[in-house]
Amino acid sequence: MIRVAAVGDVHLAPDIRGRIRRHLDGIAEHADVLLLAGDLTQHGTVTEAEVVAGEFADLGIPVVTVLGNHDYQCDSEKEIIALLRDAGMVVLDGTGVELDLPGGRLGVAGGKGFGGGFPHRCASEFGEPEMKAFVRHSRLLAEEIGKALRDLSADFRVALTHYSPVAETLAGEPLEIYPFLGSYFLAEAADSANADLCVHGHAHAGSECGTTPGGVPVRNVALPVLNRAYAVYCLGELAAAAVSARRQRPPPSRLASKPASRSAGSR
Amino acid sequence: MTEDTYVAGQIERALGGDPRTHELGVRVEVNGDDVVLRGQVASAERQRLVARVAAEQAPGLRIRNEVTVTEVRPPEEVPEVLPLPEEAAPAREVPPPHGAMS
Repeated sequence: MIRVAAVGDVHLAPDIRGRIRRHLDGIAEHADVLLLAGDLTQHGTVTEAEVVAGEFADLGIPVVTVLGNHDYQCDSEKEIIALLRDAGMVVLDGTGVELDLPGGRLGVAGGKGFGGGFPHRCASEFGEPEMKAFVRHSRLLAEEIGKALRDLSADFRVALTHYSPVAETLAGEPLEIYPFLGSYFLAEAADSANADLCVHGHAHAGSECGTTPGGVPVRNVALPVLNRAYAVYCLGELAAAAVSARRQRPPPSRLASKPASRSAGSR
Repeated sequence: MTEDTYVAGQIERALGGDPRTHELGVRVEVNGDDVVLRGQVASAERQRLVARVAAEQAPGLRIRNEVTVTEVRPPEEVPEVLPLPEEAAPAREVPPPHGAMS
């Protein structure tokens, strides 16, 4: 069994230093890895990235992250990535990593991802150059993530993005902004690799749980959705045992955690 | 009414673009001289800044700040056990084409 802790959209800056950290002591007792789903900073500055590095330092478990749109705001994304890597974090940017954990070998591939929308309600790579560029950017990022996922040879594969792969975990957001919150290209990437889990953030007023068209569980771990420092998801043999036990007894509750909370949000 | 809509849009743009806030998810409602701000931010300081930037953008209007600070509770004791792929919920049926952006 591999226990995957995850949270996104922490939007850290010096004014809220320690806000997450005070809940992270002892995380290694509850999880084998921590995934961060982007929007680590509020304004995308290197100063804020230093706060991020301190917040998630010395946890005793690997920390794997992607950047979000806020982390690009000051055009300092390269410096931010370098700083976080120097601090020991794994930063994915259309790439993957494999980690030997006590419960098995975990592969995580991911990147920021981008918007564009979902089937029958999406932008097309057509017309004006700006529109083509918008959709092409989303498609190419998703293709990179898909390839990185398929290249993983680990026991379990997780797709980590900032933008959402499905509309289901956006429930609670205004319908009109769905195309700016995610793209089905990302679900296509995860399904092409038979991933075990998709983790994303970005949609603060969305919902925690969803599924790709191919049946991969999707979790929106944006902090305002979780309202807790992180969620933990179990992959592996014990998960199989738990599912087997559920098959033999009613009620057919799929989830052990409380239902996702919703909140009015920002991103 | 029309003007209220544009003023609301201007305030939302300011909240998103102002380097003091960069808050994209605060919803602004304007009704005459009254402005209501709704949403969540990460700290009390950011909550105050949202109101300040809105007030600067709409001088003379009354700002009611209903923005709240996101709560961060400790993690839950019981993790979620994910279903095996064959146990995963079936894919939702894709709705018929309607209103695709083009």
